Amino acid sequence: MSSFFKWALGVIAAAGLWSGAADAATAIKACGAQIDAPGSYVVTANLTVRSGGGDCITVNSNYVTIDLGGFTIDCAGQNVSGITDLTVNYHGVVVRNGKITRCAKGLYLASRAILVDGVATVANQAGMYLGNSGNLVTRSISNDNTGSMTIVRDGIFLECPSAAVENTALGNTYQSIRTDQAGCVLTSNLAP
Amino acid sequence: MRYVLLAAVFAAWVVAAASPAAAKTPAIKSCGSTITASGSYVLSRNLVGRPGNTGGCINVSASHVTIDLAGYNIDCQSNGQHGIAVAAGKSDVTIRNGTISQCDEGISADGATGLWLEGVLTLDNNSHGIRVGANSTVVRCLSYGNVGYGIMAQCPSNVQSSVAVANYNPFYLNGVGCYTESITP
Repeated sequence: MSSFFKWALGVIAAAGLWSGAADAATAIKACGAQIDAPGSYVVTANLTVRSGGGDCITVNSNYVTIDLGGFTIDCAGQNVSGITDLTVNYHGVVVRNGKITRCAKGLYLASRAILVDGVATVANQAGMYLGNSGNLVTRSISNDNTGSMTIVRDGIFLECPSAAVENTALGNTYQSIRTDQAGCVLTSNLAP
Repeated sequence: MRYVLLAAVFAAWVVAAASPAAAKTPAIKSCGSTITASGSYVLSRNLVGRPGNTGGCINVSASHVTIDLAGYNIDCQSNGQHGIAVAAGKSDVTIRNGTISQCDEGISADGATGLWLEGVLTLDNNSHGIRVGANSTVVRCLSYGNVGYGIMAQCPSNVQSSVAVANYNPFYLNGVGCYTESITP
């Protein structure tokens, strides 16, 4: 390598240090992702479930934040979930900022203390199913979900006590927002 | 050709260094950090408490501070310290977007004022989840499984769109003038 190119590489490396790039959250680049440890995860591309593929993102840990980064999870009409915990009872899961479509179950979680903020589940069979308590769904959309399964078939399902605030749930074949047990707070939603 | 490349590399470096993204936000990388100057701070990894840590995993001793937890988790592992401790008399401290677990108090800021908490989960702490002084705003927060109160605030404060479930008690709003909306239960 010429001395010039060594020098040029050195300058580039120095620029990287100067910019002070922080450690990045763990990137999710394809469906089939398994989250096995607490931390911050970010989707960096639109994700599509391939033919014969399984669930797109599986949560296997407490204290997990998934930032969809504005991207879309597309299950392509297959009988899988966009994001699921396989109905294991974890807690402290955050999902924000993106869209999930054409899945059997868009968001299918049995964990507790889940925050869903800024997520759109559109044209799935079931939009969001949060089967345990202590959750907040806010500033989200769950539209045009076909509700063709039994039990898991609503736009938004919440186990109480939980809250749904400032959401839109329209055009769902079954219920827009359905709750189970007592103590849920539903306010400022457009959900006929 | 060599000089063209040289000019291009130098120009790229200048642009990178001068861009807003290059305005480095200090990263917090370990428990025991103390913030002594106003400004914006961001976590760059999960933080884990160790035996012998005292005070808070993050200690704030300045006003006008923003801490972006960036989706990461502060886990004190029941070693006795608070997750984030804001010193009495400080004000205008924002904490957003992350999880605090197994600390003494998740956010301990009873003597501070004017906090803004948004998108923070306090879980499984050994005392209160969130404890803030007057003139504070708590919005879109979750407090679950804490041994003390889920969310404590000195009034007047504004607690909205937040959930406190499975704590010793959900909310404790001390004084008059607090505003609440869409809180569970």
